[in-house]
Amino acid sequence: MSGTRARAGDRTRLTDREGFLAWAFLLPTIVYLTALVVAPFGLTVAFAFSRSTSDAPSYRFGGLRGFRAVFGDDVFWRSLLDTLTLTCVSVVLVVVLGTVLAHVLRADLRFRRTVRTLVLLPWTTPVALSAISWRWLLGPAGSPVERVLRGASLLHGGGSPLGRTGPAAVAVVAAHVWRLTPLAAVIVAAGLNAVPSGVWDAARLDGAGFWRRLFGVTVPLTLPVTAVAAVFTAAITFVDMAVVRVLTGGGPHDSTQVLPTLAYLRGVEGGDIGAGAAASLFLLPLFLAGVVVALRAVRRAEAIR
Amino acid sequence: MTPVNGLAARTAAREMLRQRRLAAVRQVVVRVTVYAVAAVAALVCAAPFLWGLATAFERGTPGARHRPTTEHVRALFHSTRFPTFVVNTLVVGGLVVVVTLALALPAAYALSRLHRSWGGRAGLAILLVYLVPPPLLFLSLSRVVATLGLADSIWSLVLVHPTVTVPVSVWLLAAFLRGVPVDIEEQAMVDGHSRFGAFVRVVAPQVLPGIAAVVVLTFTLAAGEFTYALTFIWSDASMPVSTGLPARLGGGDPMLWRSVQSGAVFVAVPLAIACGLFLDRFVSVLAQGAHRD
Repeated sequence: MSGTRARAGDRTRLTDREGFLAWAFLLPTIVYLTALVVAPFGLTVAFAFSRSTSDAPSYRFGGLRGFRAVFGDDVFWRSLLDTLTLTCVSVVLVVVLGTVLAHVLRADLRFRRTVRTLVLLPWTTPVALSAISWRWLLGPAGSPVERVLRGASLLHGGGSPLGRTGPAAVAVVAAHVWRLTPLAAVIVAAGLNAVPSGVWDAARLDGAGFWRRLFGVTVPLTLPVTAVAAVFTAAITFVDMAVVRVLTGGGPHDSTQVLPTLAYLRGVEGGDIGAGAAASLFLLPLFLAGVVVALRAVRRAEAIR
Repeated sequence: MTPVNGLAARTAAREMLRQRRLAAVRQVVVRVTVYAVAAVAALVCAAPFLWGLATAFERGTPGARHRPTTEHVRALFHSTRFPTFVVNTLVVGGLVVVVTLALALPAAYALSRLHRSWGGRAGLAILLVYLVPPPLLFLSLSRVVATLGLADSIWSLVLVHPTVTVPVSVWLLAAFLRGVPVDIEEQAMVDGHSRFGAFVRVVAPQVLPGIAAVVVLTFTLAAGEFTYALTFIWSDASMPVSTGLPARLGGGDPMLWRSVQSGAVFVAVPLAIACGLFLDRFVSVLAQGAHRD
């Protein structure tokens, strides 16, 4: 390297100095992210201890007022539980279905391109627009799902499935699983591609059957990448606001609110910036805990290998 | 050949034939299963849009048989501001792509090639920033946007969306850059280019396919973002598709619902096709990541 540089010219230009270039190349990104992520994050923490409202948005210290408002809010506790349940159920379903779909995406199919484009639809469509389509599929009288539910006597009386607590919650989970399964499939497919195909052939020659190959070879080898898929799914589901806002509007009777939509409801629509910020802060520790658990799982899987 | 040996050979041959037939049957079963799963997956993934498209051309109640009509699609363009929403999304998406590349490409190069002792920590810090989710930031960023005088303007989104797209793009571009051999860069410097010149003229063109993939991903992320668009923008003239169309559902006009459905399909299909073109590239980069770790 140093020999190369000596040959490149006798002058040491500024544009040749690696230390300078590294700083010049990274600094804009660091400044930008500090100004618009790190600093606003500090501001959110500050707002959580404020009595600021949208009518009087300037900062006034309010101590624990925001947190007290949040803890006294029944909807907060329900949305906290809902957010956790939604995330856990979605992750399990997405990882299982995504692994199946990954094998299909890799298979040598005749209509491969068509299948892949259709399978990508849920992931690439703006989530709010998918939620519109889901609402149309589930909600109005005469929609396919409504008719099937009525036909199976699972829905009685008037009103749409989205007007009932249970079905509305199932719809939110279904929309999330539908949306994130393709993403998980792409990630798992990448993990499968990285495994040399000889491994499977060797296992087959050694007489391992389908299940033995699945749990003895495929699952352990793709565990790290599966963990990555699970983390992505959890992270996206946990902080998503669009599905609930558009599909159920948090209803019926706030039964499908999640933490992000609650923060919006209290902080923007309710005008209580302090309470909204306090509610949104609860996204952070749970989120970090999930990341740590996942990273540890990855490391353990690699240690075994 | 003794009769006994002949018998053994015949048995062996029969056994081999049986095995081969079994393998063939097994292969057919596997193929059928794979095709069946693929068909079901494609159908389920497209189901909401297929239904939206089917009903967009219907008269009267959903599912009832009538002559198809284009009135709902026409209403989308005349009774809603769908064209405005689309233009806003395209402008915001395009500008976010430019800002993202301008920030992320040099940063990715610095992280992947200019080995500094703090390189690993800087990369980790950028990744951590990506983990801070929009719902934690929208309240304070809406104050920032208001202070800068950008409230209710598409410029607020151009300013804020790269917080989501830059970290992902840095990570992806660094992976692409690691795939470029160091030799060609050194050769360029031997030929008289500065390190910076080598980056611009030799290395960047090598990762053009990766840059194209990042452009598509960044645009898709910017077009799909919902939280910031919902918080910062409240007038029709500035709304992107992701909040403009859902807002039209609240009007209570059931006839407009069909128009909105068709609008969702018009946005969904081009994005899926564009991302489909780059799917293999994403998979290969992710595979590198999986392989290296």
